[in-house]
Amino acid sequence: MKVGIGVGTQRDILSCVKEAAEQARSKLGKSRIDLAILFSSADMASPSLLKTASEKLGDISLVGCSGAAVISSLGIHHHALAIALISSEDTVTLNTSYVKDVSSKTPFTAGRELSDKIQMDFRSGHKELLTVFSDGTINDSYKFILGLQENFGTIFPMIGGLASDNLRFRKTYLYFNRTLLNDAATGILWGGKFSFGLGIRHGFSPIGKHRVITRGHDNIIETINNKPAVSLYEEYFAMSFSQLKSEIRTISRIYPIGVYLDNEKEYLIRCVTGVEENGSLICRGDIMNGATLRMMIGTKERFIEAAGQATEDAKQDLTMAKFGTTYEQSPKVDLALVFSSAFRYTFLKKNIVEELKEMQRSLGSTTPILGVYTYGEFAPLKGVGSKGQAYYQNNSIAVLTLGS
Amino acid sequence: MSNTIYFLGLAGFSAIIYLSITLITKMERVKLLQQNVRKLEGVLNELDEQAKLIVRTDMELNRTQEDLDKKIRDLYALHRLSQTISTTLEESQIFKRIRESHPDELGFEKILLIFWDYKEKKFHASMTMGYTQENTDSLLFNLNLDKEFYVSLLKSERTISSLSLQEDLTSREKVNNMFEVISFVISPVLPKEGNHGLLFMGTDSPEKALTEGDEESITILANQIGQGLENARLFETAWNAQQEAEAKADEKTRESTMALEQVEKISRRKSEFISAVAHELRTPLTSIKGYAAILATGKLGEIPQAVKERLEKVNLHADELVNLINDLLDISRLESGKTIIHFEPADLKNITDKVADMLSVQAKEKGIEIVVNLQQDHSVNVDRLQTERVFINLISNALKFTPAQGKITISAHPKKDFVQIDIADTGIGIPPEAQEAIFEEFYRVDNSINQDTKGTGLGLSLVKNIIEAHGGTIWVKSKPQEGSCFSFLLPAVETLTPDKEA
Repeated sequence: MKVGIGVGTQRDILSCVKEAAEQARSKLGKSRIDLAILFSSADMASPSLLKTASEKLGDISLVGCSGAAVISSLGIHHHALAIALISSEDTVTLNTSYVKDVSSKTPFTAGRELSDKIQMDFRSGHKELLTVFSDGTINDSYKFILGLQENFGTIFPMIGGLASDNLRFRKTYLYFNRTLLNDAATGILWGGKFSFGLGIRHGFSPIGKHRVITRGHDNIIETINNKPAVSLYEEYFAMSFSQLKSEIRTISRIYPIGVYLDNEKEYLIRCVTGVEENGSLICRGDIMNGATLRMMIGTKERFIEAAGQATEDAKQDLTMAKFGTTYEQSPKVDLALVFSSAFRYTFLKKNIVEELKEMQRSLGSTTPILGVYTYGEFAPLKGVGSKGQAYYQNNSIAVLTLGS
Repeated sequence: MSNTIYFLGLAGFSAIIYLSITLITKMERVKLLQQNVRKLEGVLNELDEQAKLIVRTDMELNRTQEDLDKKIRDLYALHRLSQTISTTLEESQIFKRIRESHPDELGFEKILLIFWDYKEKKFHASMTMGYTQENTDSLLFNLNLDKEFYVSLLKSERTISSLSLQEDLTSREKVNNMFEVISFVISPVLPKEGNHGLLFMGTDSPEKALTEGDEESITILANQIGQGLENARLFETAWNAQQEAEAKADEKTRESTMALEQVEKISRRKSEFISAVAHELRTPLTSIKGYAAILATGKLGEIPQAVKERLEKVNLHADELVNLINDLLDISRLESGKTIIHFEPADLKNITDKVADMLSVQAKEKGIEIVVNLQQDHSVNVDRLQTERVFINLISNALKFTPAQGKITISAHPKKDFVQIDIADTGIGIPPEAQEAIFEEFYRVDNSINQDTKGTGLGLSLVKNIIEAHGGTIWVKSKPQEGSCFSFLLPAVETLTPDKEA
């Protein structure tokens, strides 16, 4: 496949779209555009953006979402728009679809509906990979992936993220062709002759004793080791219940819970968004009853390293997919698609550019990179012996490498 | 049979003993294991306690680091804003430049700078960020409805924030709702001159943890804006004053120019008038002189002696009048630029000798010595005839006002591009108050000689005009009863230096 990337950074939205579209078009050359993936900062999301993109690029399939910032090979952009134009060269089969009214349908049903729609229209050949984007402000967004997996199965490779805004959690945007959507989800189903690799890391390390979720459901942990779940944070941070009620959201972004899952190398990260009066912890993502958990801790350096590790994993995964072994020389990466947590963006602040440098250290500076900062990432934990089951993840960085 | 039973019993007993021993051993091992597990649990618990300490320390370090990072960021932002404010002295530019310098990097994306108009009794917005025009209008409208709160804040001259208003929930909520934010800081902007204002900075981010450092930073920024405005307003006052002074100076210059033009116009008209009148007078005077001369010859009949004497007087007065008219005409022509000066190189000594010779009879009659004292040759670029008139006038005056046995000395020396000529006498001198006026037309010094002799008062005026027409100047130094010295400059003939020759 061929890929052309363009980035627009001008203040005026229309000039920004033109700038990005012209750059991408120029890099793609005369090849036919089969798909455009578009990420923008939330302040740029507007119908005129898509209208101008369509005017510049023609009536093409376009999928994407808004984010707290945009990642590209050229840098991390706070106010920008980045677009990747992909030409499948008739070796890759692509289908895109979307679903609206996610919150009223419930994310689970919406996930199931999207998986139905996107497979129904899929032309032929093997389905290889699903890339999804969903509204980042909907409650229970984690259930969206469960709905997708009901049709695709749990081990079908999936990667994606929840659209984000300017860190206010008010309104996020999805792009589908010429339509600007809220409360929606979109996806790209990939098939045919191409290789891909997935990598996801968070950079947190476990600390302290193992504990067990003794009672819980959905995204609520009621008890840990038969004690109210909040006691975990009370003990570790020597804070009162009332203090934790107001501060746990901030604290747990840096000190989240790590859930250990059998057959998975990485801990599944769960941030806590609140405390119920009975001491239950409300998590950002589903929890598994009976699962072992640990307190997690991280540093800026480890978070930055995680970006490099996730990219390296994705690159090796791509090599494995192409040659059946990781000992071969890495194949050319046509495009690296990145979904990095908005938490990382706010926590790393001016060091965020190090994240990109780590990725480029692995991929080389000329590999096209396109990414967005998300309110949640969909990707498999590094599976043992397979690409593994995709989960809804927090505070992580997920990398998809695509190669011909 | 009994043996069999005995052996069986012995075997059973042995087994029981063995089992008991094994059981005891196992129980010991279980006990040991349990002890080990307890020990391990203890170690794990200890490790967990250490982990808690690590986590707490890490959190503290993280918070400290965050605070430090934020303070550094704020300081950088403040430094940049401060520089921006100080680089302009125009009030509207201050607001524009603040907006362009990303004050939102202080961590607040909603910014409003409002000023209280003491005349209109309402707030006006001077700068907004993070609000649409519609939002700003509606916000200002609501703010003016509840202006007492904000005016009292201005009067209190203190900074408030959602942190300092923690106890005053009503006020905090009022501000939150008004500005649609979750955290805020409001600091007064108090320039010494002009309207006072409030700098509002707020955020609707639930993530923002407001600190006392934020209050300090925004208070500093508000003070700097106040200082900047003060400087701008002082500059404006000074600028306006300067503009006013310049306008007045321009007006005065214009008035002077107009007055000068008017004077020149009047002078021109005067010259034209004099010229016209002189011409008109000269013709009948010539006739009068002619008739008087004819009558005096007796060709028209014998005339008595008394009439003859009267006719000679008529002739004399007519000559005086003709001289007066000629002088007036000359002055008039010189003033109006109608007289063409025919510059030609001339030897100064030739001129002085000629004039001295011409007036030698008069000098002798009065017993006055005329000394031409030229140390070197002086070549002047002059209209010879006009220059002779200058010398004649000045030497005649000297003869007139120098008593018998007096002396008139003519000397000269080079002075830059000119030759300075001095005509000094040992006459009665000129009073200091008259030394400037003597060059004016019709001015005559009030002394006994002038009272006894006739004169027009035009001679020195004519001299002055001739010299000025040559590009020179004339002045006099005199002490009553000691004599006078008239000095004047005439253009020297340009002598070629060796360089120029080359």
